[in-house]
Amino acid sequence: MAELHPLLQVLLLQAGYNTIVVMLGAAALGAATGVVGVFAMLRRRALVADAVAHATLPGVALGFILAVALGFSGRNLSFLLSGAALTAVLAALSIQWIANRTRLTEDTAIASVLATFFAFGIVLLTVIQTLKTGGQAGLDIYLLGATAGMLREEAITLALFAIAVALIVALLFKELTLISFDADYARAHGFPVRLLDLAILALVLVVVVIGLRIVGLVLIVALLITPPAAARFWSDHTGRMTVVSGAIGAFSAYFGAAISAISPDTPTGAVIVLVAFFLLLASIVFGTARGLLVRAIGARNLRRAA
Amino acid sequence: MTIHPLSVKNLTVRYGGRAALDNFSWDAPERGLAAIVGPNGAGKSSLLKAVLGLVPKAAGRVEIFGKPISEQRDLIAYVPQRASVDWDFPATAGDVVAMGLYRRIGWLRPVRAADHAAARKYLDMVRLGDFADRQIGALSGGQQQRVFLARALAQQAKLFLLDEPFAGVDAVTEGVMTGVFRELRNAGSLVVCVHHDLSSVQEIFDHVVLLHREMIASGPVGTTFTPENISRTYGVPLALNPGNG
Repeated sequence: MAELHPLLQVLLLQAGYNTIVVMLGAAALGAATGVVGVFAMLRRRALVADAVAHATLPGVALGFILAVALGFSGRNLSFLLSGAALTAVLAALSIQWIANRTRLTEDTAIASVLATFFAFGIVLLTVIQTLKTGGQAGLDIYLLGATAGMLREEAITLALFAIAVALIVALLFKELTLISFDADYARAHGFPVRLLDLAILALVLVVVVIGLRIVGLVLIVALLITPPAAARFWSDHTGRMTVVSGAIGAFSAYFGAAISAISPDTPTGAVIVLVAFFLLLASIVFGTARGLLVRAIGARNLRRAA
Repeated sequence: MTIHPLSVKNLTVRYGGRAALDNFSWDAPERGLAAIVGPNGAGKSSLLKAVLGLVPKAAGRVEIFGKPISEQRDLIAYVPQRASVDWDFPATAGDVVAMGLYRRIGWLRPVRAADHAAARKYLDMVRLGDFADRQIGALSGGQQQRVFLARALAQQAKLFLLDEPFAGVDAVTEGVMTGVFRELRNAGSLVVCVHHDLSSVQEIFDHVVLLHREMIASGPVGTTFTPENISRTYGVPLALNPGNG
């Protein structure tokens, strides 16, 4: 039998058990970001998601410092991700406070909070480099993501979180759709719009934090927004669009993780985002709901009929 | 004592320091078609939004069938201005009408085939039965307005509050909506519309509220929609009144 190309071997799950678990974990993460991303996009929370993602950096650094101070390994995932979640929540609260309590607009609030938190994180990273402890080198993977050195248990934990996120979206699906389409109508009829918005933000936060290890904080927003943007070209129906978006997210993350498995030096997040981008391009052209091709054919048929 | 579908007492709404609505009181009739009329910026939309709790009340009280709105959400149906939503949204006409059923479907439950069939029935009532699977952005403005009306019908409410339903719609839509409103009136409902077109008030409505930040006049169209009241509302001096230019 002819030798398969190494990428094909990995894609067809013929690599080692650990690689397979990591790839499936990445796919679960991609599905979750794709599903949550639909509402991040429809409710126009893409920029907030990006700010929140960048704001995890100081948290990761603080988590590292705290773990080392308490005698744990600086790469202990629980410390790093708890820290990430904490500063992400702080950033979200800061954005809301600035937008509500000052005369600055929301996009100004978002941009300044993103930059400030990220800058603080970079300073902390520099401080960590001067500490006399091991493991600092591992921290930069949280910027652009990596699958190398990922433990099986880590991948399984991330996958479980991803499944929980998808389940919550499924249970709140019609209410999330309603507030995304017509928030005033929802509010007028007694739906808790503020709470549902908070739920969207919380889900974004969870997928951002669990995505840090594989995709990294700089690019995770792309895995939230590119899949739904691509899915929009395949369906005019929020439900079907969400399924397609989850599938595109899962495929991008799976494929990106596979490439990074055969060349461990490539930043996994960047590869995943490029795969997602190619799927977006293909969707813009070939999408069955509003792709350029069906539109061109529709326009030609109209001209013929006229 | 009669219980009014809508009773507004001394309602004031402020944006910043400016009063959009000042000490407004109105006891709506038990049933029928009521128009809220007034110039741009007179506080017509603010009135609806304050009634529904979408903007805060600086002062005053609102009751729906004698109780606060929080206890009466199932009795009201709100139709926002058509321009207030993004019609590019991934939804079909049937999906949007089904939203009117969400409260009855309840939390954590999906929209089922039976709900879509019900939505279709309400689309039929606004003569859009064949458009159930059409993406909402592919509908004309008038058809979009009828989708919104069908969504409100799906709620089986007793009090309908509509913000500019006749703005920019075609003649067919105007006819369909007027027909639906009359059926609602005959069924005992009250339909309240923010309305901008003075020329059609007499033809469509039987009650009118003339509003310019405060209540100018309200009552049956025949006795209330007079040139004097209209000129007081719009601040235009009437030709009959040459001395006061």
